[in-house]
Amino acid sequence: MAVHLKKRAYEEFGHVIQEAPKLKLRKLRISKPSSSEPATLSAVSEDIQLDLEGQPSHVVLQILLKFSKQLPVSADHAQQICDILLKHFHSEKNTAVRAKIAWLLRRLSSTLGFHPLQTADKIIILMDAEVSGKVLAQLWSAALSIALRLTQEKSLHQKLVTMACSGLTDHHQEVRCCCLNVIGNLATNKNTSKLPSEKRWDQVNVHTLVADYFADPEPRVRSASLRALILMHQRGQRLELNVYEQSCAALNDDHEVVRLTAVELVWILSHVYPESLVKAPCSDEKIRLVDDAFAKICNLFNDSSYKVRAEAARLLGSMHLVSDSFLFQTLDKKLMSDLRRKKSLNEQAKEGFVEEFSSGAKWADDAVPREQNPDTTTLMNSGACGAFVHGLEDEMMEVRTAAVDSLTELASQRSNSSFAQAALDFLVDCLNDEIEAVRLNAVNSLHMIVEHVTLLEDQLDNVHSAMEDSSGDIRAGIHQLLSSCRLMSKSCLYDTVMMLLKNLNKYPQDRHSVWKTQQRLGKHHSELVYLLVPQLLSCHPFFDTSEPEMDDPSYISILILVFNAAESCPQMIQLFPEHVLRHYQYLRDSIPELVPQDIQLTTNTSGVDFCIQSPPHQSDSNNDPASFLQQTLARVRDLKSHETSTQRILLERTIHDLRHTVEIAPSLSSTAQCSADFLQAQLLLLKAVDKKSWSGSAQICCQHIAFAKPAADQIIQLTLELEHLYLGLSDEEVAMIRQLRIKAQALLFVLQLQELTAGKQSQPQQDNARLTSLCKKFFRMVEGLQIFLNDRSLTPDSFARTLFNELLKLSPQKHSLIIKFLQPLLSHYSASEVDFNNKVQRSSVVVQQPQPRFDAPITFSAGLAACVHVEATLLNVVNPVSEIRIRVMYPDMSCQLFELHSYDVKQLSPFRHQIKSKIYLSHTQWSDSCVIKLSFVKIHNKLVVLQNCQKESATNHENGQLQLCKPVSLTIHPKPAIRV
Amino acid sequence: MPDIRVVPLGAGQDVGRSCILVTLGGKNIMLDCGMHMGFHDERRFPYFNYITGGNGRLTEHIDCVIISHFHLDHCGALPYMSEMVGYDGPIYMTHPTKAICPILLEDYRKITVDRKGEENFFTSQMIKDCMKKVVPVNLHQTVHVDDELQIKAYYAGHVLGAAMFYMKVGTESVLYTGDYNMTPDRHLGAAWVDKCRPSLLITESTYATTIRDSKRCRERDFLKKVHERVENGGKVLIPVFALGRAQELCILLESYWERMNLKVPIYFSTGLTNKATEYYKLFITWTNQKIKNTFVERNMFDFKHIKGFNRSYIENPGPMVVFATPGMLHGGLSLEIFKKWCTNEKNMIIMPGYCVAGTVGNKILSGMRKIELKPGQIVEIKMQVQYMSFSAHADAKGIMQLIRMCEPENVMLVHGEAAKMEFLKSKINKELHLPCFKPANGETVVITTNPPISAVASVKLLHKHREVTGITPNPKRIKTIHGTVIIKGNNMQLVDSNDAIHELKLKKHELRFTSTVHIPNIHRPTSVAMNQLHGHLKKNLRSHNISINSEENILIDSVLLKAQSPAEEKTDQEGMDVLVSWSMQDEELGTYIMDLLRTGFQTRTT
Repeated sequence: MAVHLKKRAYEEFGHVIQEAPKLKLRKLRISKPSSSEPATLSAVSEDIQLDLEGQPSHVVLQILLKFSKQLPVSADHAQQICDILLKHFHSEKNTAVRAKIAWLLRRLSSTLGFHPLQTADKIIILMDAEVSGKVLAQLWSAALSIALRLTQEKSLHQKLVTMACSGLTDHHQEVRCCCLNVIGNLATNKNTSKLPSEKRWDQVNVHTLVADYFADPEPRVRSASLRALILMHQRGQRLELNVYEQSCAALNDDHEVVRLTAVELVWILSHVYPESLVKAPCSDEKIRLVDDAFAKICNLFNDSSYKVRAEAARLLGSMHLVSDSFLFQTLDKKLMSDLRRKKSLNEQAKEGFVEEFSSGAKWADDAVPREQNPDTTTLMNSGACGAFVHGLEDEMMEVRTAAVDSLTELASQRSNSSFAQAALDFLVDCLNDEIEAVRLNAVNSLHMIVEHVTLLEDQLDNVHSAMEDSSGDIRAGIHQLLSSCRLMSKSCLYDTVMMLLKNLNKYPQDRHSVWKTQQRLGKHHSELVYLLVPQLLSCHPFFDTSEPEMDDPSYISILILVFNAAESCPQMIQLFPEHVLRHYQYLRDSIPELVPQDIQLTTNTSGVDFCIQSPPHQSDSNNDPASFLQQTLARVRDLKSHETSTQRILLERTIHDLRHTVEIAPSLSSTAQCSADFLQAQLLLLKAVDKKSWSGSAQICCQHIAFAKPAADQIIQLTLELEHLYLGLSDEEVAMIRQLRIKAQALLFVLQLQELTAGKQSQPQQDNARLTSLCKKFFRMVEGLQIFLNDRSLTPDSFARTLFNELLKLSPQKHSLIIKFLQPLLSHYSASEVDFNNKVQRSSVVVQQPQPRFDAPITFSAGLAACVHVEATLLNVVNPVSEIRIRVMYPDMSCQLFELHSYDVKQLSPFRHQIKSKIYLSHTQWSDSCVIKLSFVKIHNKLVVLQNCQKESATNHENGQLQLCKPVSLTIHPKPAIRV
Repeated sequence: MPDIRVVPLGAGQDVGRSCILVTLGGKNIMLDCGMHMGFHDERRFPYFNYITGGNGRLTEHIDCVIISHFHLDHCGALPYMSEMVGYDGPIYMTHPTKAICPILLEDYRKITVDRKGEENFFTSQMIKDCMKKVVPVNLHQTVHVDDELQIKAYYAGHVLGAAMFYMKVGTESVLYTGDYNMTPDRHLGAAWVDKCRPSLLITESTYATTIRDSKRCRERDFLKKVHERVENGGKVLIPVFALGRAQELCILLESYWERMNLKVPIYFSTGLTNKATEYYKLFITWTNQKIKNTFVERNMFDFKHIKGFNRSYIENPGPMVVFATPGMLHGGLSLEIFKKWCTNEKNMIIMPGYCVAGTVGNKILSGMRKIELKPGQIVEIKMQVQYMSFSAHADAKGIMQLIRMCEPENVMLVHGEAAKMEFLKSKINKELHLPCFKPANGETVVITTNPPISAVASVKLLHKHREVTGITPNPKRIKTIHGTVIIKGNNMQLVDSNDAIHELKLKKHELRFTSTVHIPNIHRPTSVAMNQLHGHLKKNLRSHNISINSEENILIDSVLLKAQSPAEEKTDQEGMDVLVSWSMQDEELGTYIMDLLRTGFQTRTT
């Protein structure tokens, strides 16, 4: 019940929060002078009423302009003002004033809480009498905005549409545009209209009627009519097929904006009626509509406006239903024989087809070809051939990017890979583009289709050369590409490996990415690697070559390749020289994520089979680490039933086991470590509140204090880590952790109180004040916890409940009472069981760059800054920019925090971020090389943590930072300042 | 009928020595004034005597001269024409052309006079004097040459400052493309023209039978070949013209060298190239998107890897890449280097563009392995010869694309080879259905145009028309107006026919069409039949005023329907004859009613 009540209270609270912005809104309005007080507003409207009568037009216009700045007004006044305006409209001669009135009507009708149906009717009456085009256009847009507000008034919509259909014949272009807009927004398929003045004897459909205006003399009307049909389509009205031909004609319009709209309409129609048959241009053949539309959109790659070209390129990508022959034609500038039809249907002529044009690649290749059969007709405008070839080498990068995207989409959704294979050449060529964004786009696009196809040798060459690109993103993209592609031959693989090594040499920062690529390459191409083993490992049949250095990144990268290949192709193990076997053991342990763990390595160098044992934990793999974890945790399940001493032993063992689990089972390490930390904190608390030592002799007491204080600190640290470094903790679990922390804090508090009361004699006044402030601080913490629990409607445990109920009633001045209250409470503490579910994930950071190097210090001139590149992978962090900082600790123990920028962070997958950042170090005082420590920290809200009075050193939890990784030590060496 | 006359003095079914005379609305315009690379006698210049008849100056014959770009085959004869033949009128060219053109002319003069020792050639002073007559124009700027003639320049790609020129006199217009390129390259954009719908399009057709592969393919091939040669320790010679392709290839090689981290030296014959590259740095607005966008950080024409060439480097050992002028190996440094290197099979020559017949370049590309470089001295060529079409001319597809872009009424092909032109001509006829011409040098083409004739329509007539057709004409229909055209001198008026009769004091005659329709399935008394007919027509012709008068005649506007009294012997026969009569003004309605009576009524009654 209590929970229920709390919930309701919480809900009400939430409701209040929702109200808050509304209040703000009102405030904003108040700040507006006009609408702040109704009195002034009515005065304003009265002014209008008074002034409009008999005023000359220019004065009225001024008044209206002034009024328009005071918008919006309240709903009551809107009605009033509308009436005044409508009244004045009739008598006004000046068109500008009437137009302004119409504009005001539109604005007023959108006033909140004002029901403008009547106004709409009046506007419709006004429209009948109006002659000026400008005013009429304004009236139309006013009527439309009212109609759009009143979605339920079907009869109004119907009326407006009918009026708009007849209004289309107005001479003023703006009126026609507005009418078309009205039709587009309101008309339905059922709307038909017949114009009495028209000499058309058939019933006119709205679509046909609108389509007639595709050929309007005014370009704005043309685009408005196209737009109207698009609007109708977007409103879910099915478009008529017969507008297709007319919209295709609009593709050749003189005006860019018309073409831009027309291409969209044609594209829509191709999706609505893909399979309908239409007449092919200049022939009697019928072809599918989607093909025809595709060819026509392709033709727009020749358009003079780059916006149209980009739009065409963008739209092509989603025309998945197009036939193969049309699709392939986009990759060849010359018309292919598939799309030529002989009128005589003589198929033989097709076979004897000779290329008409030369490619220009050879000198004197362009001799005039023999006369072609003049009867050939084409199913496609020859200008549309090779659309993508044109698009990919377009002048504007916008078009090129759109073309790359579309080509990729078309290639990747085809069921057979032949188009992807054909398109590959062109995409690979885009790796040579002069603009980096296009290159990057090409890399990513290649990655998408490369799963369908095989890279040929010359294409691979291009891919390789892109690896020398100075942009890291492109290189990373290429690595990704190589790791997922299939290679043709042994030489391809060899070249790739060599290029990767070259890349590694040139850009050592790519090490990780290159190794990963090698791993995948090895996995995918084990057969090819087998053929290359002697070459790669530079074995000699007779001579022992010198053993390569183990730390060489390129050698490691070769080994990664070979080992991963060996996993699925064990026969190659015979070829390994002895040192490789030794290195395997080393690598298996040092980079376990890149090297397979269980290769049976045998060699016969010594004549006997010499088998290298796999590590022990692999051999008993039948023992599932998950069940082991369960068993371990089960031990502490009924902890409370044991005696305190047993509890301790049990806890100690369990913690030990859990720590072991962290090492052996990476997938469970987060859970295990989380549990271990929690148990550790409990164990520490158990020891610290030990009744015997607490109430023992003075000496024991002293010893106890010496132990308990750091223990309390450690518990606080552990619980902070538990709370902030793990993702997936439920509220209950967080509450448990926080309640454990409050115990540690209570302990610390009691100890400090005791200390201070013991030494009270010296400066009673001062100490009293300190004591009181300490108490207040602790009270605040307790209150904080109470709010936390209440917010989430969680039940506090007995300790916390007692604190809430009893302690908060006490006055902070009564120190002794508080001690007496807390001490026994604490000593009754017993550990509780733990059961973190396996969803828990620990946040962590893997620093790839910089690596600790003592031999090559970073040098910089004193007074100037030195730049350090930082590269790291963040795991299980929700919002890196706001939560993560880079901390540098200088030798004088001073710390500096560096924020990350949003462009430093790249999300690889959910909860996995790549950080590439630079930090600038500077210091003026040094003259000698020294070590700085760089680490990643997570910042959390600075909690009110009881400070340990004696030790005010740099414990992390004080400044709200939690370390995420081991600090990297860097040597930096300042160069002496040059004195001139 | 007005006509446009075109005479090519050069570049008619030929490449080089571009010079086309256009007579447009009585104005004589000379388009380009180039020289021919293949000749060293008087044939290298256009035959200006054709204009002057051998005496007098050109000024009185020609209204203006337009130079499309700075290549010598388009401007090489300029000082000769203006200073030696004599021309004082305006010469139009774009700003970059004006800046670079004198450098090239001076270089050309030096080679011809100082090195070959020719006499009777133009001097430096003449070049300067000639350039003083130049009026620079901006892109899309309309320049009024005189009251009637106006010209406008469009971007043409090809080389820096290349332009297409649109000339207009009255309603007739000509678009001259010069050389242009429809595919953008590493430093220039593609040619662009709006739908100017000229009466005549004069387009170059160098690559009339070629449709090129993708540009990237060519670039890749080029880089691969150069890289391969250089890695094998060979020398690569690339003959280029000082400006244009040279800069593109430089940018290409420069960025490749940078990407591949190559150390092999690249040289560019110094002198005018340095000067010219300066101009490329200046005229950034004429380059492509990438260079325009990045020049603030780094001007792409500031080359890092490309250094100036010194004649002494020819003998240097080791690999190198050399760009040398001129591009067709017809003399100068490129020929000199070629002579030194051609005997080593390790070396390679890459011809990146077109070579005119008669040049050494053309010979080696045609596969000749033994060439007489000097009289009596035959050299065997062992070096690799490669052709790379980097020439920035539009290919057949580009030409067709340009024609589609500007929608001309006639097309004329120049600057190409006759046979290839013929092929393209047939394509244009077939696909675009446009008349196409390809005159030879000296051949006059006369193109008759159909200029629109404008007439002043009286307001009264228009009002009347509006009343008749309603205020709401279907915009799709062709609108016809009945009226009378009165021509007085040069003015044309369209007036109502009554007014015309009044004005001309003529007597009015009415023309009526009368026809009899037999309606078979009516055999009631005439009056009933007519009433039935009246009802039927009313249903079908709602927008018209239909009335039936006392004599049982139906009047539909001015159309009269009258029942024919049947002949005696036919009274018992079914049906009735109806006389339909309408005036000429109501032709449309009359015909419609005739159709209606023939078909509609039968189906209605049965």
